Amino acid sequence: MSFLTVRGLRKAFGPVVAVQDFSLEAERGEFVSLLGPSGCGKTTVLRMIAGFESPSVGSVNIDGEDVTHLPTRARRIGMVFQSYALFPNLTVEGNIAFGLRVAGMPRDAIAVRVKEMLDLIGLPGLGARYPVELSGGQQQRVALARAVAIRPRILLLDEPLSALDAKIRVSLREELRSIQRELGITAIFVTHDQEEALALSHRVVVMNEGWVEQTGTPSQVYRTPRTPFVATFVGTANVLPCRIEDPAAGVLSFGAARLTAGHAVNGAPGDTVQMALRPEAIALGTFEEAGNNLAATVRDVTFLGPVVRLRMTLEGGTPAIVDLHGEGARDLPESGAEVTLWFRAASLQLLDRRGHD
Amino acid sequence: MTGGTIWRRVVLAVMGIYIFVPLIGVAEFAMRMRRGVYSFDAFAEVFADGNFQATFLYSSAMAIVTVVIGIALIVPAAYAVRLYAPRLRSFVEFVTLLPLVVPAIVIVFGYLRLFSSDSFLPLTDTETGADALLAFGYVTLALPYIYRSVDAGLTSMDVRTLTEAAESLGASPATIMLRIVLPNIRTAVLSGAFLTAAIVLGEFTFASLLDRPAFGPYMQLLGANRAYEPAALSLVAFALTWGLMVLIGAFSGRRTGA
Repeated sequence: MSFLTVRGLRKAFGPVVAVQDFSLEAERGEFVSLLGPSGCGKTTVLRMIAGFESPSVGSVNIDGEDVTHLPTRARRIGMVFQSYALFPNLTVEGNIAFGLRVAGMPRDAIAVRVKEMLDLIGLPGLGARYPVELSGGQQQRVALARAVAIRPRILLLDEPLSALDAKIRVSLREELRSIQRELGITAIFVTHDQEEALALSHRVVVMNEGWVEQTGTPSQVYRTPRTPFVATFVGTANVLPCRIEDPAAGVLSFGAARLTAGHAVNGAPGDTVQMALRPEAIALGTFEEAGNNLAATVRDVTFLGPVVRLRMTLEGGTPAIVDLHGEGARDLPESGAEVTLWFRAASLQLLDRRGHD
Repeated sequence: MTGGTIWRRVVLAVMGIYIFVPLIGVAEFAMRMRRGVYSFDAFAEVFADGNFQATFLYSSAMAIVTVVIGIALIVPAAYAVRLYAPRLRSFVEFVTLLPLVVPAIVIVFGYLRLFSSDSFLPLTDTETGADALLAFGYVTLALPYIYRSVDAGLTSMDVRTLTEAAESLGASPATIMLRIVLPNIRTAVLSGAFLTAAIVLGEFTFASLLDRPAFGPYMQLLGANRAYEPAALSLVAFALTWGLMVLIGAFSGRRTGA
């Protein structure tokens, strides 16, 4: 059994089902992100693991112990909240020491642990300050220190970076990652920010409308999205409706164009399937080597700094986005130009029609 | 001087006149006890009166008991409503406002009917029972003030998240209440306590009808039978109330960072 085992969690609030059927196994020291849009059920899952919500069905097991019906205070978890949730009446030291005092740790040991934690988060001189005297980033560091000070079995993070500005967010993200790796603590991280999830996690669970859409490493989720939702939520993707010509050879047709996928395609000849194609996997022009070509009309060219984004219309009016970087972004076509797009067979990914497990 | 500044000064002057002229008038009258000269004789009489000390001490003790019971009842109730039954908030607020709508005399007659000699719980038969009844009555009277103060205090903090944060750190409900909730609403609790103490110190109806030796009935008695002492007494009561306010200000002003 894995260190954290969540089986068949379902949570209904009256007639509204927030989580449909959620299962997850996480190993000791693993960093797992629950990624999805607002209302997809990711926070509800986290709250059920924490014990703030009771599941309607299902179980939560931590380190071999069934904690499904244990109160939060007995679960030995650490939690970091989006709003920091530092106790305003306590100093930074008081906040970090709170859980240790509750646990009855001797005063000397508390002082040592608090100092250790302040060093860990890089705020050694701020122990006597009150939360209101700290910046958002500092407050969230203290909240992290408070959560890990009690040496929890699992660290739960509920969108901890969402309230911070972009620059601090990135630096704190790196810090969070290094602290988690340093302590070897199992972490479950809830976010709606795909970049955060991809940058921090060993594994990502993508959720939508209460269902798990896909679980995999960041690279798997990004490179081989399983459903149209994952393809478009994790990064940007063009979703092309194609007809199967030869399933075993992965040959498809898109309008008059013949396309080849890098893998066999499930289905019978004549079936319609959806294929995902990342904007950065497309180049302008025709290449001799193996690959696929599509005719397109340029609708709009947008300069985004390191990337130039071209909005296109494909055959049959299907919209498409092409992102060009570096040399590829030098000789750009005008709006209205007719161009040929090229992409590798392996870039074309078959999407599952079902949408979830 | 701008028009805004003049307007502010006029408003302040009117307010000052409204508050201080009656006080000065009362003080001037209270000091006229000795014919032809100003003196503090009326104040001396008041302080020397054994009934003043006894009734004031009794009402002060009642105020403390009322505040303690009130806070012990209302803080957990307001906290629980916010956390577990937020939909009931407006209903609870309405219930706590009832003592402002139902006259004290109606409540005290209800008490007398329920707790007199021939009832199943004859609290009025003993001194302790009557004192307890008076304290419970005062808690009822204080409900709107304590509840509203506490509720306003709870609004200023993220009760749910702080509670959850404390729970995740292993804290029990009692620890959360004593170490997180109460310290963070201290100012609100103190202002509720202050209002309660002020009401209890001057309350007449309950104490009089339950025949308790409280400060309110004493003031009424003195006012009905003496000339200068009631004026001195009202100034003393006023000073005590302000003293309480200063104390609360001193406590709530202590640095918490909150």
